[in-house]
Amino acid sequence: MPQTEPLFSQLTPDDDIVAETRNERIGYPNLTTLEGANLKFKRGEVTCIIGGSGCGKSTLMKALIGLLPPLAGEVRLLGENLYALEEDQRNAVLRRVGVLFQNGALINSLSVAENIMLPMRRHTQMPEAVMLATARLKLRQVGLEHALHMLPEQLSGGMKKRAALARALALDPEVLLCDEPSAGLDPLTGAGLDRLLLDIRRIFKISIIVVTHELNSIRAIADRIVMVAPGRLVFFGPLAEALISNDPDLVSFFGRQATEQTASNSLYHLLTEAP
Amino acid sequence: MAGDVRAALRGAPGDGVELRWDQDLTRATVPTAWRSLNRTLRTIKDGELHLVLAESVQLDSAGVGLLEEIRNLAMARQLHFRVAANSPAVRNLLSIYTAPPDTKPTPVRTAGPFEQVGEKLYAALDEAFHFLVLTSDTTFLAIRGLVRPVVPWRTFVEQCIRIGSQSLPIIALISFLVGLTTALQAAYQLRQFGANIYIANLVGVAMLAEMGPLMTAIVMAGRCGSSIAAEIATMVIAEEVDALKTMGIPPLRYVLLPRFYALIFTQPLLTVMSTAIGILGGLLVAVLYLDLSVPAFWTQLVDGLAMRDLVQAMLKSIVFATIIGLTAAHVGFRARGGATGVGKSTTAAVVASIFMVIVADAIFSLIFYFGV
Ligand SMILES: Nc1ncnc2c1ncn2[C@@H]1O[C@H](COP(=O)(O)OP(=O)(O)OP(=O)(O)O)[C@@H](O)[C@H]1O
Ligand SMILES: [Mg+2]
Repeated sequence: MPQTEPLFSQLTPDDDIVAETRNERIGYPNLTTLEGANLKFKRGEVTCIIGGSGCGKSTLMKALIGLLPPLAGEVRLLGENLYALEEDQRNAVLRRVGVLFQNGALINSLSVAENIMLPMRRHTQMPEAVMLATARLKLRQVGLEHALHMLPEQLSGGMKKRAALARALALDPEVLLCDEPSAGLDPLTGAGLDRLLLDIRRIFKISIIVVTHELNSIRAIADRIVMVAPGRLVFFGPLAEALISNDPDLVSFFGRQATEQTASNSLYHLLTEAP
Repeated sequence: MAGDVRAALRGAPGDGVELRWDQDLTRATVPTAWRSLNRTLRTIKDGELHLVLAESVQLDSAGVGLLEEIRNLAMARQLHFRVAANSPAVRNLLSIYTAPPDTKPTPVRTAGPFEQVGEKLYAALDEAFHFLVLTSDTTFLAIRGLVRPVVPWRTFVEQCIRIGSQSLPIIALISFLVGLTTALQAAYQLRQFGANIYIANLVGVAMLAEMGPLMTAIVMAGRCGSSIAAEIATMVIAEEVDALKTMGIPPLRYVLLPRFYALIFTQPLLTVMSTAIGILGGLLVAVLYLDLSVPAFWTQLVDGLAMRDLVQAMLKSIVFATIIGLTAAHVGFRARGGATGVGKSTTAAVVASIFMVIVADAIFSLIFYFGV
């Protein structure tokens, strides 16, 4: 038992925090999706962000990577407040970050190879041949080597996702944020991606923040869980705690109980039951 | 200087070179390493290049990419490339990358000249067929829609207002300038013959029968044709058109018909307005430059214009509107390939419809000159 002491319980100094929110209020002018959660994402950990559709997971990710200024409070990534930095310093931080967007966000006019070479071109002086070889390497990792010279429009949804993951990994990021990497993938490919994420984490000691709904995937990779519901934080803590928590949201998410209450909530009951 | 080339490798098949490497292989150092490894590789005639990575060497994925590319180059020259790495970190990193498949890439078969010509011809025929089907479908739907209305009255009015208000200012300005310049060009000639008053006939006929319909059509192609094409192309690419089809809603009726009606209804109105404003431009020149009075100009204008010209103008504007709507829809429905496809089809719609409008205009002029 003491042997399998999980990562999360080790006391980590503050500089091991790669991303955090402080007294934040995140959302859009007329819709707050998360408030006062004070999240902390640690180096070398895999954090899974879970929650129902449309409750602000992608929004939280956007806030973390500097695309959506918090309405209040502070969001820090790799120790910096991106929203207060100059363009150059911002880019220097973002260069150490890889992002996989929910819809892939590949540049449609460029081939898959060019898409992956894009960050390398911008940030390094690598020779063309080596960039291409590296792109091929990354694509092979996600099982897409044959798509090297295809255009994004020729890829299926799941292939786009994987190609976008390869692009996010192009510069060996220190922090990797993935919005539903395995959505739309078959279980086998999805498990392959999980293994890849764990491998990368092991070799590069990077932090991975994943938005995902796949229970198997969460069980396999998560060290820590953030669960959000519309406008509030449900849970933030180690996976082991999430699995045994009695919070009704977590209980129904991890499916430990047949969700009887949804049936009693049904319109049928509302219409037929006597007051 | 990175690495030093050592003497021939003992016990290796053929000659070989062992290269000790003690520099990092990371994004920052890859450019220099690439040059130096390439140089070394070129000195080897046959046998093997054996790269021995020192314990301290740092490796990242760019470095792995470099190693793989060197291996590819070596293989292309029938050489062997081997890496020896003692550091566990390097070995770990290399282990998470899968080896490239051994299979040779299947050569891409290029089509012969006959095949290419055939393909082009087939594509052109296919396109023409699609256009024909679209034209007949739309005509059928549009005519049936007159009897059994399918487009809500409100949608139709909204579209008309949108198209009208979008295009009105620019058409007005262009027509005014065209009328003005036509009159100016003619005024000088007419004055030499003392035929000042005929400026009214000239501007009137030119604007009504030719410039009014044509200028309106060109602006409409640019403003409305492009937006119809872009809208339809966006829907095609986002699979919205497929979704409509599966829901049993014919995309033509839902997407095209309201815009098509609005276009055919507004374009004649805009053409009349364009003509009137163009004549106004001519009047300005007549009054300021040829010293004609407004009533004289007006009398001459009314005398000079025949009903025929008005009929021609209205006919032209309706045909042009049809051409613009159909071309835009045709190009839009055939859009392929992501967001870039939308841009391409928008441009194609404008270019194609302006071209077709001008061809149709020429045909009209011939018919009305010789025929009627
Ligand atoms: N640009 C925007 N402006 C205003 N509200 C937005 C915007 N984008 C998203 N929202 C709203 O923010 C909420 C959270 O959206 P978000 O995309 O973060 O959901 P999500 O948790 O990622 O859902 P999913 O699992 O479906 O991807 C939703 O209610 C959505 O309507
Ligand atoms: Mg989302």
